[in-house]
Amino acid sequence: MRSFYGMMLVGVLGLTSVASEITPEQSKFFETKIRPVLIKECYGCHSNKSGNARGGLRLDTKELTLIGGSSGPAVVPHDLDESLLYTAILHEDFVMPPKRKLPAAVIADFREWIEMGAPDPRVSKVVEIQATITDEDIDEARANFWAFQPPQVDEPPTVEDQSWSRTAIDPFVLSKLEQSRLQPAEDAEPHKVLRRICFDLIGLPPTPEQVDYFQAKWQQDPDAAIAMVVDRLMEMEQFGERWGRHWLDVVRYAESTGREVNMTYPHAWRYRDYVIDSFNQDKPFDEFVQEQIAGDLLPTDSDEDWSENLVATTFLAMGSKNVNEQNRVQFAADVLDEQIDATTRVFLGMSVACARCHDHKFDAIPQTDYYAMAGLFQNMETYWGVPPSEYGRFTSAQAKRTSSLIRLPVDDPNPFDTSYTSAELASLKQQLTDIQDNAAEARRNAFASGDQQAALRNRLQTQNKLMELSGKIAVVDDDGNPNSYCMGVQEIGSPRNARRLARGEIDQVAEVVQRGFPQVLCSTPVRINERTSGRLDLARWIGSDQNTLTARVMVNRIWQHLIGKGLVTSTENFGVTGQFPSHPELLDYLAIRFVDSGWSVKSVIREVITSRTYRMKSTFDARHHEYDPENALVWRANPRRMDAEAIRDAMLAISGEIDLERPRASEVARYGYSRVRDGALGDPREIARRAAELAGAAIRQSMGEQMRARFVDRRPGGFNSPRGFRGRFGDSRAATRSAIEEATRKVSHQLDMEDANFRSVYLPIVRDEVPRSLEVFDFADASSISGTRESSQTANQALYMMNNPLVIRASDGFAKRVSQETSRSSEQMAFAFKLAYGRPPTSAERAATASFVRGFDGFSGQTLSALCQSLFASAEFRFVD
Amino acid sequence: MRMIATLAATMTVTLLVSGIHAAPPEGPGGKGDRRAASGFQRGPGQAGGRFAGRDSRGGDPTQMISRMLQEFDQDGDQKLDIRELTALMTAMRDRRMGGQAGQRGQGGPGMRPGSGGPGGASQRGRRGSQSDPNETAGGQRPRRPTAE
Repeated sequence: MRSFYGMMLVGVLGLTSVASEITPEQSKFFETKIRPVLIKECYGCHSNKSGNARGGLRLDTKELTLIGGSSGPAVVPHDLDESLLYTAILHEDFVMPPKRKLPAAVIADFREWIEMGAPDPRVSKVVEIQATITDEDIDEARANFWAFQPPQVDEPPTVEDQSWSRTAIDPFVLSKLEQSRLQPAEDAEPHKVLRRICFDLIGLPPTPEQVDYFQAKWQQDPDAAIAMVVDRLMEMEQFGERWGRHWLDVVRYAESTGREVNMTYPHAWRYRDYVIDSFNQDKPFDEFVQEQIAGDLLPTDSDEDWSENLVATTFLAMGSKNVNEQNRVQFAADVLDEQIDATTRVFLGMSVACARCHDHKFDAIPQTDYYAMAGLFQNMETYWGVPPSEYGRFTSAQAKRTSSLIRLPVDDPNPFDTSYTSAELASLKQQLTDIQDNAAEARRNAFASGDQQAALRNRLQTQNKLMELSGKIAVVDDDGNPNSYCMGVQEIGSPRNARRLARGEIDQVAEVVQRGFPQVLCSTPVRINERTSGRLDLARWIGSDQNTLTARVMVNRIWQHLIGKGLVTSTENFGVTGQFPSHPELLDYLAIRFVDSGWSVKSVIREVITSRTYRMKSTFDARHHEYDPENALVWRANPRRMDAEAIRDAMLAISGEIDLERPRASEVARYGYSRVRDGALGDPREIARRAAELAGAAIRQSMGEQMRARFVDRRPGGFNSPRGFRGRFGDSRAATRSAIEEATRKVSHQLDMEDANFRSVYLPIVRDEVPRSLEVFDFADASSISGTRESSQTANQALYMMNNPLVIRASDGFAKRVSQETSRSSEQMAFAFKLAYGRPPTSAERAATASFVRGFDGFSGQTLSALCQSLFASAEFRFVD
Repeated sequence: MRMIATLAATMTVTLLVSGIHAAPPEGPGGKGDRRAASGFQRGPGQAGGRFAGRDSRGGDPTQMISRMLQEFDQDGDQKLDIRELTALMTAMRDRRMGGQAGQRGQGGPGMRPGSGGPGGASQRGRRGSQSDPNETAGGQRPRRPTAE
């Protein structure tokens, strides 16, 4: 058999060498018969010199002619059918030149040229870029830069005050403080420690009963009390929801493409649930990493595991995308770039993507390293859109670039997506075929009538409709039941190396670069099997202690979430431009412990929370502040404003309205693959219709009330009194306006989901359309890798807490709970404070509250509701001290 | 010996290619010579596979082989290694099977299995229906990772 292949190889190689050369005759043919026509007829709209590249197509270089424009390659050697330039001059798919047809002889020349292999002697001038990073630079960086050294420290230092420490973390912190003649702050009060632990581990506040129980335990043994709480909280499902959300920030999780044309990812939620479950199971982090980078290549024993691994690769598919990109080659290059950037920054805390266009300006990453990694990723197909239906693939005028999805090996037993009856499915198919027929008819009529503008408008609308219908039909089986999909990646074809692109431009192709990893991170050169893409090797290398960064980057993130500031404050940049760690030995120690624990995230969290460092007060000290204003040495706890999810979830939890059950899928999944505009999913005309319907109903109701007020419900009190005609009439008009506003808001702010009671991690995360409750409190930018969120204090936040319907609803629920569980006003006041802050009110707060209540009409329901809203709006509620 | 090996290889590839080439150029779902037959209008069922039902355009086996080589020489070294050659053979087999599936009523001859619906594919305009040849209707069935 081997000899058979060998014989074939010899045969075909001989043929290749003949076919790839340009003979003088072919060159002459091009120069005399092809190039003049291109210059005269095409360059006006498709060349650099003219400044025009209509349809993304340029014909003034050999490479760009082959790459083509938004519709595909202009010329495919030997293939007339696939050569759009040829079909265009035939006036088949396009009409080129636009105003007349070329003579038959010229068309014949082009036909002959393409059939002979489109020999093109034009040579593009590629600027040679001299690499600025030498092998010596790489060796030097590897030998000297701290982040590229293997972690060494696995023993804590000796300290003077040995009684202070509780875990091995403490001596590292105390040692630095002692060197600086600083004292660590004393322990915080138990209710503050408990509140801190609860928000840090599950993102929810402790109940009054839990506070009392913890305080009692604390009196006996603070260490045991903390250890007990930590163990219990880490067993709760809410742990994964809290820590999964941290991870989703880093991996730029979102349910849409973002950019100008924002198309949904209806199946991204599976990845969200996968992440939450992984943290709850304390999945070893090295496995977690490998599944996300190369889950599709990991051998598995069961279809269930296989499905899970496929879902994990959503990580590579869910980046933001410019689906309106006209040039498919540019689009592919951008997707690849986003995948490289995400992989390196998320797992390694290093940006390699800077080297797409040139050598990295600061880190020892030459441009060839980027294309070595590009070779690892370019052998895969990324799935993120909607599958083609049996009628084919349809794109809309705006969403030019699209993609299929991966069928899960195990069908979802409880699918969330839309299902259709047989009749509905048949109707959809009939609509699609009807539209196709009508479109063909319309095209013919357009030629006859000459109304090109109307024809174009009609064609765009038809394209959009066809895409929508095809998308609906494609995702269900023959019975109309939804199939189960995930986003992700799959390997394609034979592995191949990438070519370097000078300045990162797709038409400036340079030499082939051997697949590999960033050299500066590899102490020994990596050899990738020629038969594999190397992506699995990369995943295993990243998810191992063979590289010096993965463990460090992850424990630094854990430290940041618990202490409030990373040991390396630039959490996604461990390079030269990043920050040097405040406690390099502690970072090494934690990284080694992390690996030794079997990459257990929970074990690192447990070790940090049970440390003395974690339970310090946040008390201000002038001398310490003068020496270390940034608190880099951790001489006290960092007061932290809670993140958006914790604020919303805490309000719902305190009001007693929170639903801790995981909702099925996501609001985005309900609508399938569609475009998001103005905070709403689906067709804008449909949105407008729904808004009008709701508003109409509100107006009718209001009109009825007005009529009653005018003719039926005449109450005493005079024309101008609040109870009289004008008062009621005015109220009614205000109610009408309010109802209309409410109807409009419900439709146009659909993604805010202010009526939902489930946890914030399950809210729809659509790029550029993040729910208001999250956006106002500095939610992570879903289009970028965010290891550290902003923490601002703005007037918008205060206004949100005063006026938002969700806050008002939660305040009402809070008040209702307080009034149900206590009766006397003093008890109500104390209970409200304990729910909100985890402590009873001070005497000054009691006095202030009493004064606040007197300003209303006594301790009524409305007053209590206003008081509860005030507690929500206070700084103490929004901060973890 | 080398001459014999070259000759045998060329003949084998040519034979395989001509097998595909031998699919009927016209008929329901096939590709005819549209310039000659329909005045540049796409005929019914012309969404067939790339190598199916060709007429004389590009039908030269030498050109077809060099074209396929260009497609399958993934690393650009002007040589086909064993994997690239296997991929070439697999693709040829798949295309053959695609054509046969089409003739069994799934669409016209040469169409990818499942890509031709009842009366749908034949009416598609090119720009409204450009599918990646790797895409399957209803979604991509994943390939099970091989055990190590």
